[in-house]
Amino acid sequence: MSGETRLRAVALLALVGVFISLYLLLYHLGYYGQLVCGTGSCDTVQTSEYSRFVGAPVPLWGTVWYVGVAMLAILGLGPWGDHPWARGLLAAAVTGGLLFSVYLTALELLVIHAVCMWCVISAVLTVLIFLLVRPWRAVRGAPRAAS
Amino acid sequence: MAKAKGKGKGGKGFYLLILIVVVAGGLLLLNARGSDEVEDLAPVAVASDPVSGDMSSGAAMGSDEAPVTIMEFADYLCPHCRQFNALSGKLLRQNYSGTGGSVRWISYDFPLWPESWAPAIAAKCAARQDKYWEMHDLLFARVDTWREDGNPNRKFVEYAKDLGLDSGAFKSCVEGQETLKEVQETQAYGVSLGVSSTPTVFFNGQRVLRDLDYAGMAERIDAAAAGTD
Repeated sequence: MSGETRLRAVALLALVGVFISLYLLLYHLGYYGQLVCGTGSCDTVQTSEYSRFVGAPVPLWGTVWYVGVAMLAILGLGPWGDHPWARGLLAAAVTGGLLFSVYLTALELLVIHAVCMWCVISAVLTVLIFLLVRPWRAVRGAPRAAS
Repeated sequence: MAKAKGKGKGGKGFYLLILIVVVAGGLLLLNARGSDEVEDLAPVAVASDPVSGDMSSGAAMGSDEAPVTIMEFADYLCPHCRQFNALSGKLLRQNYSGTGGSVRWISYDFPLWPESWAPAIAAKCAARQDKYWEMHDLLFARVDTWREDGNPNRKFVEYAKDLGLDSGAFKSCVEGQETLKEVQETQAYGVSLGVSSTPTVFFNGQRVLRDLDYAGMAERIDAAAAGTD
């Protein structure tokens, strides 16, 4: 898979993540009466004391992160994509996102003892984005477009 | 000069996919709000025959003869309940549940967490001195000051003093958990109606799933009071 294809996939996955985060954020703000939650305990997770991080709802952080990653991926498709800082920024963002996702998943499993379907989907998106960006290659300075 | 990426082979398809995701996501967000405005729950119609809780266990404001009955199940630690109370509940009660008002508002404490029982018990203790609603609003308004407290009862006693309650009697009530059974009854009544999350609101026996904001609720009340709902 070429670097360009990877960035396109990252942009699309991040865009899906934007809508999931927006949905949870709007619920958090009271726009929806109830969450659609096929399996799991979305209400339990979303109304827990851990549903806020540094004073803001977690879905707000998710929305900002997904929008940022989507923009970096799309920008990476342009002439700026070859700059080391562009690769480094995206690599740092997806690494931070993965660590935060691991933290949230651990909270669900070990502290809240409830799992939210949307959080699981978001965690899977984060892992896929991380694997597509391959930040370990950016750190080593490998050419981004290499397959 | 490097060729601008994203405009080569497959570029149009990529932007088409972006467009599809944006449109589909937008529609899903809008549709999620528009679905199932109200959900009929038969048990509400036979509320006089609850499993173990009692409809009268809720704190009521407004006339028995009011054309609209709103039942609210809330948890003091639930951020949405706090928001609902601040932006809708308090104003609706003020404007529609006074003398001659069209709404009988019944609030049921529905603790979801172990830490939610203490404030619910405190609210019921305040009710013994006819200050349930004042304490109800205060507990929501000051949740950030008591939620992290290992012994929130101390804070609740301070609130009782602020409200002009007999703080000695109130302290004895909260520390002795004298109203625990009453809270258990409101919770049991909610469970018997199928309540599993908060805030859960019933409007004349129908569960309201959207438009819980003041304007949406007021419109619904006005329509019901005018006999057009």
